[in-house]
Amino acid sequence: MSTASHTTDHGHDHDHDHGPARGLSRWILTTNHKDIGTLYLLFSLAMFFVGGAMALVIRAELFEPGLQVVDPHFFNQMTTLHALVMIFGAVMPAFVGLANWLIPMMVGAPDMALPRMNNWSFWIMPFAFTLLLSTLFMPGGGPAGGWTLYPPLVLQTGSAFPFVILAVHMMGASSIMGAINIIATILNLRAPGMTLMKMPLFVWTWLITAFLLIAVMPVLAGTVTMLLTDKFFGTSFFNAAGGGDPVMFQHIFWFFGHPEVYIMILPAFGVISQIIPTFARKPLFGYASMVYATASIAFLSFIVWAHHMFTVGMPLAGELFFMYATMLIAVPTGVKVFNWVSTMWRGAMTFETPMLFAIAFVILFTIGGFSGLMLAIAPADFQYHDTYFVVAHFHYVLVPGAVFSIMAAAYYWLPKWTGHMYNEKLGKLHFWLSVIGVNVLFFPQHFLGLAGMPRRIPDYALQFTEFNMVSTVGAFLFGFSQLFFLYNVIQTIRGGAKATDQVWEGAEGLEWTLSSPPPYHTFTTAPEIK
Amino acid sequence: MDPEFAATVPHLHHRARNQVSVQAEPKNAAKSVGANDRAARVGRTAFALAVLAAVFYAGFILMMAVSS
Ligand code: HEM
Ligand SMILES: [Cu+2]
Repeated sequence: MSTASHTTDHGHDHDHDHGPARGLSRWILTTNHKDIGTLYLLFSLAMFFVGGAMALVIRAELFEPGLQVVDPHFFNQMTTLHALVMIFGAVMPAFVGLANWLIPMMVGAPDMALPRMNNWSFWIMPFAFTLLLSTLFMPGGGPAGGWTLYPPLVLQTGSAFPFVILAVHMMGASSIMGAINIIATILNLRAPGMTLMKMPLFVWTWLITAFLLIAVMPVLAGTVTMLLTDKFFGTSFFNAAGGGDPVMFQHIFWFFGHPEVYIMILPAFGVISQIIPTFARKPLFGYASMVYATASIAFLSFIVWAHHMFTVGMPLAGELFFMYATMLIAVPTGVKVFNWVSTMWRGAMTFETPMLFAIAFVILFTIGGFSGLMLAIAPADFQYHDTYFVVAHFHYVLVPGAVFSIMAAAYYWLPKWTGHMYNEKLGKLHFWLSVIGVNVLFFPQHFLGLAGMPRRIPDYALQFTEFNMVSTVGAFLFGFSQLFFLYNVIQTIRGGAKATDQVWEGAEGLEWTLSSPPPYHTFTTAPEIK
Repeated sequence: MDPEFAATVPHLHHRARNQVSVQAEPKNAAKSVGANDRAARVGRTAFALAVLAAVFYAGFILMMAVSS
């Protein structure tokens, strides 16, 4: 079949099974879903450490009352950029990276549906984040009004303002293209016989997440465009003096923002639903109910946004509607937790690192869900709003929630991706230090919030000192323990014990039928689906 | 490789600039599988989703422009 000259020593065993190009151009020009998945994951890992360093600046300043480490304006830039970097730079790209690696292999497709756009989606990201981080060095510093970008405060940003808006647009464009690609792949490229209700849950949760992305990333882009025109082109969308309404910004922002938090957790649900059955050696309990629960959560996520705005002075009917709608989300979420626990029930469980992270996810994410329910009680939220209780809530769902699921996924699929087993002892050490660190870090923040400590401030009243000290100690422990993760990942990429094709005794699904590591191109011929 | 199955993946069909030279099959092998093939369906899906995104973007701005 191959007729052309072989200019390199590249071995071509059979028709067109070419490997990657050599050198840097492999990564810059690649349209291969595995390469792009790797790029996303490495980018995310880098951003995780950048965002983490900012978090440690915040926690160092909050170790004691008074101002010691940074000035208040810089502190505010750190809280703002920490959130933007972690949400858009670490968590979302990690899940897109997992999607790129896994979805084609899980549904038996030869690649993503739009491989060239895939390259573009990724390569926007490093530019967006270079731009965003460069704002720290601009006159007036980086954005400091919080990741929620509320006007009028955000309009006080210095020269950085239009660059921040452009960076947000770039991230948005990247996410939208990624989402289009994922939907087009899942809907059109499944191998014959891979019906929707046979798809692994990770694929299902990503399909639904991608629809959320397409619906809300343009809304974020739209609202920051309106900020831009308010600042530079004389409109007054959010300017009361010109007939606009700043509260309107909050409504639009949270119409994006609440689905956004589910964009960060639904793929995590998918990962956990893959891992628990493997290590419990039982099929997932309630597959269909998992699919319906995911879809219900996605639907409800569009009608709860104003639970972030209980204190802005909505009519009573609004407060009540958003309170009850929010509480409803606990029902499908409860279905999921029930199903995970039932999957483990009487399973032949073993506790390798991915399973440890998955179990910690189930327990600690649920704590975050409960504090969410407390916040959903409108009259109670008048007390909790804008305190550390909110900070504790969303960090429980995002760190031992979304981030732990990403770590579980990394340990679970790394042997498949690299062909090498990671160091299990080091993985367990990483797990235990992380799980202790994360609780020491965030649990005391519940108490601080209930006692009234406001969020986003560099200084605080004396009575909050002890819990803040504990929290900071936890932060440094958690941050430090991530170095074990980094070391373990690097060592696994470089070498290690050979992984088998199935890797885990209980693993099921198309990706485990491929060799470890899989060839550069997989499923160029449709696999047999039973 | 099954050309119809892999129809949407261009780098499997013709030599990418960065790849060693191998002629797999005629360049237009992917095009020959009829109007309703997977590549066309992918194109239609992507177009529909892009329109959806554009509607959400412009829709919110227009809504705000009209209401304030
Ligand atoms: C049981 C489900 C949940 C409920 C009932 C819930 C409820 C709430 C409520 C009422 C608030 C607003 C608190 C305030 O500002 O006074 C809030 C904030 C927040 N939640 Fe949740 N939540 C849930 C799950 C999640 C999940 C799964 C995530 C993310 C993965 C998440 C992320 C956040 C974030 C980031 C904020 C704060 C945003 C900000 O003001 O910066 N929540 N949640
Ligand atoms: Cu919310």
